[in-house]
Amino acid sequence: MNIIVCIKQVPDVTEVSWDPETGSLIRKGIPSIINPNDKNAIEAALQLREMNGGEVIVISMGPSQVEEALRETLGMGVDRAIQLTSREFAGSDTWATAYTLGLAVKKIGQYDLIICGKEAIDGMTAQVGPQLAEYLAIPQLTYVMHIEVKDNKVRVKQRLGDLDRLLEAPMPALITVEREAYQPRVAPMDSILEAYGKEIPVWKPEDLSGNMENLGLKGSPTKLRKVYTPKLIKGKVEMLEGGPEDVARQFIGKLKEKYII
Amino acid sequence: MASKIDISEYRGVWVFVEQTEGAPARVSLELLGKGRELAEKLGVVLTAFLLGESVEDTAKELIFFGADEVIVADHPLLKDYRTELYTDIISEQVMARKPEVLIVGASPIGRDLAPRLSFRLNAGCTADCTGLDIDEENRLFVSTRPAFGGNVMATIICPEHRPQMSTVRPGVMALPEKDDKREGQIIDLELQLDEDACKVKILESVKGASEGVNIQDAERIVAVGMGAGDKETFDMIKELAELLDGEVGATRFAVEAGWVSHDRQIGQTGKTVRPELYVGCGISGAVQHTAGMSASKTIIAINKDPNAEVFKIADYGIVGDVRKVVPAIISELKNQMT
Amino acid sequence: MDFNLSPESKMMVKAAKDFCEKEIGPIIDEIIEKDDYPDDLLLSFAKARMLGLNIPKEYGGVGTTNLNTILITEELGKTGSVCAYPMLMNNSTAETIDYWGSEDVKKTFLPPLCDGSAYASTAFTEPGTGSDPRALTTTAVPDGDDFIVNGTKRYITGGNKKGYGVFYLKDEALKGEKGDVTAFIVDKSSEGYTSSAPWSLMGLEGMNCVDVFLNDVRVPGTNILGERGNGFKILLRWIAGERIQQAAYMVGLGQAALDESVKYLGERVVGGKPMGFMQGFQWMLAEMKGRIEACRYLTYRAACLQDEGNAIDVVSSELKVFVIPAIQEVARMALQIHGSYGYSKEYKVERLFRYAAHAGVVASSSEINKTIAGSALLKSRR
Repeated sequence: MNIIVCIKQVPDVTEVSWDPETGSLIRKGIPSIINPNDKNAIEAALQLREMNGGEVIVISMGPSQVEEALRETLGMGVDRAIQLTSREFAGSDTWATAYTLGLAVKKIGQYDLIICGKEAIDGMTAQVGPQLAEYLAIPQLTYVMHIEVKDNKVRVKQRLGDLDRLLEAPMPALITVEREAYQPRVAPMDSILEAYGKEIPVWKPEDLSGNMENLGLKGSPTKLRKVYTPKLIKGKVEMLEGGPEDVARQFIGKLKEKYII
Repeated sequence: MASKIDISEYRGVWVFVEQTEGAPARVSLELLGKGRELAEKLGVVLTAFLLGESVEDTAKELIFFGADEVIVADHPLLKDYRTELYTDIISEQVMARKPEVLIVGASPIGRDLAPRLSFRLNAGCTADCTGLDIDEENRLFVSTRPAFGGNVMATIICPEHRPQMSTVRPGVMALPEKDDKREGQIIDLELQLDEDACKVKILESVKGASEGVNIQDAERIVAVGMGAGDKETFDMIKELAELLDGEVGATRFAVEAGWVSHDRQIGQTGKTVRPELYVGCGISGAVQHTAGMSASKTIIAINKDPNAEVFKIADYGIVGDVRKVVPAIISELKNQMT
Repeated sequence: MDFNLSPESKMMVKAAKDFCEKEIGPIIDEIIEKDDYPDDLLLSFAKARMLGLNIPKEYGGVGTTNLNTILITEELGKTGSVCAYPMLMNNSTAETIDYWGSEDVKKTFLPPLCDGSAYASTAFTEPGTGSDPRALTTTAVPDGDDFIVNGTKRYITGGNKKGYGVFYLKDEALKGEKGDVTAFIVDKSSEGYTSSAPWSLMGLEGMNCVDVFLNDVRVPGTNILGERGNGFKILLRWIAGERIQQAAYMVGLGQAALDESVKYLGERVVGGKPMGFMQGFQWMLAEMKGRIEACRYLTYRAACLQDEGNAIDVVSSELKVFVIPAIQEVARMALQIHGSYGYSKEYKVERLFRYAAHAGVVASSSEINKTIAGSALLKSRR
């Protein structure tokens, strides 16, 4: 079976530091990584390939350095990687991103499953997966913890809040996987050795048969109005002083004051 | 993409209401509260959209919580959430009735539904918002959400496309007051639904056996962070939470250390909580965490570092070693109880 | 001279780091407590395709360079655990079999050493000798097409773990000849093969160094590795490779000691400031760093010479002559920096210090290395 995995290269937002003088974010020098949740998607695809045969193709839309991320997926063992890089794609919101990825999927042609991470650590919108599924008019199976392919159908365990559901759909279908599922493997050494020998084609708008109006900033229905760093509310904190026993007594005193106990 | 619509034709604020066994989800009620405010500013009607089975009473309740009208899709096939059916029904009504704003709770269901809807409707959708407002001058819906992993805040608008959609984080908006004297209109939709037309089948649906703790419901939370850096201290904090009749919450650190499951994580990549009491133990106050609890009624922070960020948002602060302070509190609490 | 690692090598190092974090980190405490590693450790290595690194793909290997192998080893050295050694033992034993073995031997023994189903061992040392082949007393006596083996081997790493070992035995039929040691591949589950409980060592908990007792063990003649009587040469070549791998392990260990020290000096406050503020400690860090970098590049160079097909007996000896004292000093300095905390088992540097001690006495002692390197210089003058 043929599986397409969509990945996003993101800044490692957990490694962000703040300038103590200005109180602003230091954006320079933040390493770029494959969105961790996308690695769960790749792992799911690799396991399904191990069981059912076929090919795993990874696609990603981003600036030129997304090539490193795609190279890393080849190191994990995927068969092919395709890059979507062009100035016209820049500034895409989730709608335009889903549209662009959809054009690439249509160009690839035959596939049984599309697997994505649920969300990316920078935007955390979790929108591209469902939007892509809608564009391709295929079923979407979200919050997936486990995937099984049988008799030309796909069956998933979905964790929908506090409901555990077992869903079944015909293929092709799109799946978004949870971070707790399919822990990514360590890139095997033999795949790594082959990774740099493979070509990663770069597709641009002219390679995709789509509507230019729907790409990039121009094609995005949502627009960013402003970005600012959140101010921590500077309230007046009352410090409780003294040794552990003293502060413990004051602590309980305050709880009583507020009728908490 | 070029918008081919006349946005002036679009009026009204819609709230998608999620329900389980007839009970509306808390986040949907929170959105009715906020929706009321938005509708007032826009001078329009607030509509609740309810799908389910045998939900007539629920519909009435929504009016009590602020809806002027409730569009009801009542059908056995809608009892459980179905992406295809819900998307089809709502999008058809949106295209017919043209609301200018459509807000959805960013619950798992909401986050499955809203993006699919937004793509079908060629609408812009802003996910996981923590703030909603109206730019009255330009008659624009303005959404605020954390970005860049929660390190910055972004305000987003959807100038040319309708409806302007947002999903909103549970626990952020206040729950509105219930007024059972309120009156409104209920619109029952005529439905022709066919199970065979649904590609996705639900084979099984059970209440999750897994965790079952929703810390968003907890009124008291004792949270553990990096400064409580070991198992013994964590066990002490668990005891304190129990004594206070509360739940244990955590920063990402504790979750990654394996002491608690992810559903107890509070913050940008976890849950948002607004308990009556929040006690932070060994928590520095990095925005990734505080953004998830800053609206707590009473915040008490215990940290070794007098310059910790958390003291800027706390009501009461204790500079001390969690390992010494927490046992003292536990012992004092036990004394007081006897 | 390009000192940059290739993109593949960099990716391999990253994968090795990832492996250490996911597979080794969580089990270190358990290994130290039990003085043993989990049974499926080798399988974890196999899954990550870290076994058979230098073995051709047709036998189940990965077919990469010695440089890449030691880059991976360096990462494993940083964990401050024994885990590098099961991997190295499988890799180096397999490499020896690949180099000297007949096609049949390769087809039989290489795949299980690459797929994680067999633990490899190398057995030369005996109670009476660690380096002198003439003093070997474990014998292999011909019996038809087979050989009957009797004797005791000592300090055999993994001698108690199911799999195959390359055993260096006194070939009775060649008694009196110049080369009378033959290398045999012995199945550790053979009848008559037993092992002692592991020796309790100063460090490297989980090393599983055992005495192996061979009591009329029947070894098929088809299990001979290389030429009869050529055993010692095979061993020496293997040891030379081991020296480079061990040096890489030590570089990793030294790096870990340095990282721990930098962290400690940034956190521990004395007089209102982190200790790293003090010049004396900065100087110590500088000395540690200088040593580690020198050891690192010397090790990489030795591996590159090995990859180019050069004889590495002298180079690998010279390498250990420098690396062992240098890294042992790094470990000592790390201990000093940590003060009494460094003496406590709560802190990683405690075991790094203990572990560093092994490299001067194992897989050719420092004295032997110095003899090899020193006499080589004199030989070249003639």
